[in-house]
Amino acid sequence: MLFNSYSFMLFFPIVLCIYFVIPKKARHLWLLVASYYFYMGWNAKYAILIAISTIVTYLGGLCIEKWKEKRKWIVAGVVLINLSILFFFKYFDFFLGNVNRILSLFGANSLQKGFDILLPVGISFYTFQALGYTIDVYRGTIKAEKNFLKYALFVSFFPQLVAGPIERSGNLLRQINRVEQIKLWNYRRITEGAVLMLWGYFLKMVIADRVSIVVDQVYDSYWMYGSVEIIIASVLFAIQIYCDFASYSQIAIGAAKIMGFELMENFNTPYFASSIRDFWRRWHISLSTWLRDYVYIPLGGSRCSKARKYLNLLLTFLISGLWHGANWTYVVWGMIHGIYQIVEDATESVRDKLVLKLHIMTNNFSYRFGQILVTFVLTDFAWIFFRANYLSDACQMIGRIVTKWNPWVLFDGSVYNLGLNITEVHILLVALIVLFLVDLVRYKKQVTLDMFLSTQNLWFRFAVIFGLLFFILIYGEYGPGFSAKQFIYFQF
Amino acid sequence: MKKNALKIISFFLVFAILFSGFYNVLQYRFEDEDGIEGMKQFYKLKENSVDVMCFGSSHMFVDINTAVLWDEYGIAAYNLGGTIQPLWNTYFYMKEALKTQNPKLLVVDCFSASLTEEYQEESGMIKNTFGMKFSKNKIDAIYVSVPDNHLAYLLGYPGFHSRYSVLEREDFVEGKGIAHYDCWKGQHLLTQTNEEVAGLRMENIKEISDTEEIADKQSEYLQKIIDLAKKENIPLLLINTPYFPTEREEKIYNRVAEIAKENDVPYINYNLFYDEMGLDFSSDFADGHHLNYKGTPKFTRLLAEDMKSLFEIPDHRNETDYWDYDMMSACYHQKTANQELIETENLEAYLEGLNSENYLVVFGLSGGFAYADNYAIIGNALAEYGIYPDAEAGNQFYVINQKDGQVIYSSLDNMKQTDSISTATVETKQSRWDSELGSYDVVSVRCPTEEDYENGYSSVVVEYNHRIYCPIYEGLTIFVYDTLNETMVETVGFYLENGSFCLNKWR
Repeated sequence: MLFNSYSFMLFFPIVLCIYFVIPKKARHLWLLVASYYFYMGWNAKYAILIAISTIVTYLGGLCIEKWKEKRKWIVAGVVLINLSILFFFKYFDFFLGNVNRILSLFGANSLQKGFDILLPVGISFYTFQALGYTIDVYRGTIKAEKNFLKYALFVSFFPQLVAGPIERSGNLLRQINRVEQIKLWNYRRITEGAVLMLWGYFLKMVIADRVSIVVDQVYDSYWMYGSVEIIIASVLFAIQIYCDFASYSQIAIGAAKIMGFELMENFNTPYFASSIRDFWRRWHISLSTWLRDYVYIPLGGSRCSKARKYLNLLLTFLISGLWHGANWTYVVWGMIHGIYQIVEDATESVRDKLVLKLHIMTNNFSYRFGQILVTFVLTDFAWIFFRANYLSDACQMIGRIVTKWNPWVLFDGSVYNLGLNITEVHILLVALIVLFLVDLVRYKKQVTLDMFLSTQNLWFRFAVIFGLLFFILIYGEYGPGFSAKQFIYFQF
Repeated sequence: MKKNALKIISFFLVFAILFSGFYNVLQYRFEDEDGIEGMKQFYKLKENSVDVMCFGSSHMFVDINTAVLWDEYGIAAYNLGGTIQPLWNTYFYMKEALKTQNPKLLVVDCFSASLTEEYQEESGMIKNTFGMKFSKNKIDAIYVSVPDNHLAYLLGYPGFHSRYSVLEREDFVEGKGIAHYDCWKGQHLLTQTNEEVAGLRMENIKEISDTEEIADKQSEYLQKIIDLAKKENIPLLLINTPYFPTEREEKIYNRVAEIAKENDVPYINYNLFYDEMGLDFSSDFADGHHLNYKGTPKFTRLLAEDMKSLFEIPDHRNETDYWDYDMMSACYHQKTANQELIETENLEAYLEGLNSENYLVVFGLSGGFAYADNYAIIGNALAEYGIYPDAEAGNQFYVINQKDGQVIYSSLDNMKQTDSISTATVETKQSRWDSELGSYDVVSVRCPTEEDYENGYSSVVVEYNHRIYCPIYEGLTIFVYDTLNETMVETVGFYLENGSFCLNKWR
């Protein structure tokens, strides 16, 4: 069930209404039922995979506590089982494709599989969440959860089940254990949650889905376009991936907030980052901190030799790339970010010296703006690999950026032929200004939209909320896929 | 708690007000033929005021002329149809119509019996349900019309919210901004003529006696239509309006005839009666499927004769309750007169055609008009209004309201002012007449200014709804406005060439 589907528009209010009126003791049970229904709305059979993952990690947690001396083996077993499921459903086709490519180099026959695998939605999210819990129990950070139903809800909590944030047991499981104590009728909390959801829908339906029209058109036939169009599409993709991903997190956080849960922040104005390291403190925070805590630090982190540290960084980012998808484009994207971080770290002292020597003032807007700009260009360059359909496409697109310089398309109206006409471009520009302002307030004052609005006067709150609401209702990309003009004809 | 409740209530109240405003503006307002306005206007009819309810696709709502039915037979009819309307749409339209009307006769055009698709093209089809009020009929019509997106179409708004990019005046004003739209009875007037369709005529059409089976879904709903009429105890007439069917379509209609006979329902295929209705193939068709404004009266008369002979249908002419039919007829006749004027090329005939009491006419004279050797044609016509142009004054124009034949503005009178001291006549720099016309239109007529000359306009300039019309360099400019239908008929010119007025107009 997608957040922007009609089913969710019915599902969520119904779940809420019942959640608010049922006895306190039944709350977690109701949310568990709702979460499984939510997931089964996509594919009923694959709910079994969540159940398996839940049972394995639940029992694993209990066993780790019971047989402490064998906990290493237990945790290894639990991780192995979960990663095997993840590997089979997400990476088997990718693996087989690569094996066959190698076999073909030696002239051998390729291997065939006699079945199709459908990638289970959200498998990477809930698997990492459940593994995080197991490792936390192993480390003794938290106690194993005894109540199976509450634990099952932790793994499958519907707002963040399919697209994060990847929650930590220390945060979400603790809140689930106190679900009976949540004071549901809290006007401020509910309205703040609703504002977050609204903002999420704005990001998704007005910006991300509108921008994707241009991005898809250029990326799917890049050979038709020159430098300027590819740069425009790549900049827009940076906006698309941010708005798309952040919107899901915002809706999840908002929906959970309405129900009395505080989920962790997942995006914090990532394109205001002043370095790649800073970017990863702001982008997909729940994943980057998960990788830091459960991969990078166990590998040795930064408390080791420089070479080892860089190897750890590279490995962590390769895993991050692979986590995003079973394609070399993601692996290369992860690798680029790993290399960025290594170069950034290795050149830090040189850059500092250069700044001193050239008498560059660092405590001003222009320096910070320069840093932000360079960081954006670097991340956007990496996004080309993330979005391209194949590695070779990404390389060719970069080649076209360099060789096919065509600035005239900015002046002869060609840019309006990329899928968005002049009206649509104006709508997009207004929406982007709104996005910029909201992120600027967040960056400067460290307050999210909901918090900012709750300190404003009623007329302003209403104006902003109605503005967003009707922007979505009118300019959002939704509804049956036809344009108004399609109707105007006279056939019979 | 109370304060919060108040805030929530005000929020939803404001939302409801704003949303209903946006909903009204954004919803579809198609051309008449698209099956939305017809249904919306239908709901505004007085209960049990229609004697003949006609259903079907564009064949029906274009060809059945409600004005001729009213004028010549006193039949109060309404055309309730939509483009490419398959019989399942027709069925639910009929069910919806019978909620408020108890007609003496139901007429169903059977063109759609020849359609074979399980679902017609979606965007074209689903709009036929958009005009329907929320009801079980609407839900059923949506489910039978499209395979998916039912909820979105039922809500309506998701389907039309993206119309923000095509909004125009008619989306913001009642009745599409068309005068007397509330009197419209569902007929769509086609004004164009396609002479080439004559070649499509199948000479041996009457000899086709084979039948071909109707597609299952169409057949099922044809039977439902027949059963519904029987259940409601209202006579039903199945027809096919005249067009140029293929051999396969004619075989289908033969099958329709069989079904009609089996059910004891009259069916008339008017494709077999071209000659009886006196159709002129070179002038009466708008395209291969539809008659134009010259053809529809011919067909409608034959249809009316058949209806009168087969069924009891009252004559409501001269009944005050039916004033809206009189207005519909007046608007229709003025529209056809407008079209005839547009098609008139000859100067003398054109001047003759301006004698409609619903016209407001601007005559603009420019350059050396008075020295043209055939100036008398214009001079005599203007003299009838008491207008005697000044040959020496150059550009000048006159505004005439044909309702009373009065000159309501003469640029000549306003250009010359008398100097009180010397009693000499001096010319003002410019003369200009601005006026609001109808409910939404504005017009500004002027003798060309310096700026106009720079822009290449040297004769009388007509600016209608902020668009400039100046069709000629010198000669006669005529602007015609239909005050009944509240629309510009046209602005044309008869230019001067080799010392004569060209007798054919220039657009």
